[in-house]
Amino acid sequence: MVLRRCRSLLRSDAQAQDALQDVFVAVLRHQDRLHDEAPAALLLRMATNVCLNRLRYERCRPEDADYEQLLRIAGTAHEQSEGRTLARDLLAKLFRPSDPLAASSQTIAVMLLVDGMTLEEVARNAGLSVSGVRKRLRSVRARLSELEGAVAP
Amino acid sequence: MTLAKKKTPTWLLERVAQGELDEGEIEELRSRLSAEDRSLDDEVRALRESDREILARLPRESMLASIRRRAGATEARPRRMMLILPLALAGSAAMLLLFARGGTPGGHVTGADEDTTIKGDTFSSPRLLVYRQRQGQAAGASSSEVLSDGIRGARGDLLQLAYDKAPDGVYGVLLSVDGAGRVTQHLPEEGASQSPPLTRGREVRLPSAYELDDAPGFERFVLVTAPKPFAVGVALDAARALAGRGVQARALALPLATGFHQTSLLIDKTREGNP
Repeated sequence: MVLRRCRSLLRSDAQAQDALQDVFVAVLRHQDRLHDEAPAALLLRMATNVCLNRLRYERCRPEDADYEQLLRIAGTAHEQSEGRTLARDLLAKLFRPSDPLAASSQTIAVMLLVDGMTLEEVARNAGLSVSGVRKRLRSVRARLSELEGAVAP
Repeated sequence: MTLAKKKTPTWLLERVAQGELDEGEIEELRSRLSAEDRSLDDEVRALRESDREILARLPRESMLASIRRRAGATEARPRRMMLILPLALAGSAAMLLLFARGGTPGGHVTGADEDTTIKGDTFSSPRLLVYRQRQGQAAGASSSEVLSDGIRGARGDLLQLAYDKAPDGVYGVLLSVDGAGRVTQHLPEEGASQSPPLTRGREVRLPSAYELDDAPGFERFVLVTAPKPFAVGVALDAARALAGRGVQARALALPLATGFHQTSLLIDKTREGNP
């Protein structure tokens, strides 16, 4: 499950295996803070965070501009071409390196735009209340407002 | 937020495969997938097949060593966490619960069809076997198949429970938990208060067969063993506590203390019909 998640967000099996290790290293290091509800969702969130960190790091390296991978896969969650295009555009704005979102907001953005979850699904799978997700989405919403009339989170 | 028509998120399917969603959520997903001309059963089956492929080719030992080394480079970790790690890496998200809650420290769980071992562990465990009787073409003729973890089952399936490869000096209790929250004791027979010694080495079939009833969702058989006799009630109490956790009982370990070993096999009854 974790390896599949990493593969879906990264571009190579080798990188996904490295990310898998990162996830379980994080599990070991933070075990005292783990909660006992929904361990699969927890692992998926941790895998997402690890992969986003890797993608951000890669984008900072001029020799590796394949950060576009995340933007490409954003479209896979949407059946219609306009949905794919819009998701890619939104992610490009949300993840711009000059002014990045907080990590928690980025993860939520991926759940919305890459995984194609509804707001309620994000809340359930992030272990947050809907109001908690809405709070984190304020920064996302601010970015999204740049695309006039595109979405209404 | 509405961008366009969205596919059912794989994230949710992964949670179904881990037994983490309740029946209502599962049915909702089933409907969504049906509208996409997809089948929840097929999707979950594909994820489990993918799990098997990954496990077959993942360099688990070297990977585990690397994880332990990297995690240990910053601070010393409790041993129970290290014991659980191989199983979590093998795909069982429920293992996270164990070390997060401390519910089964030092104990460990294996799937009956997946001989997961823990390096450095000196307690050798027996194997749980479940056979299903199949009626043959000729009148009265029958054969049986060995069931694998997660296989489909249905009301009326006639099962034969067995164990083998028990080492010398091991005691055990075999029970099952079903989707209705019921716990059934299979070994020893009801009335016995202590776990019996398991027969060393050879396969031992229980004297009576077991027929699956109409309990919804699943039937999960768990063989609890220890290197010394223990009260049957300890295992039953743990099973009842697990049964009270609803669908999570499909995957979580019995909340037992250090020193117990658990091997389980799940029969999935969420799908219609026989396999």
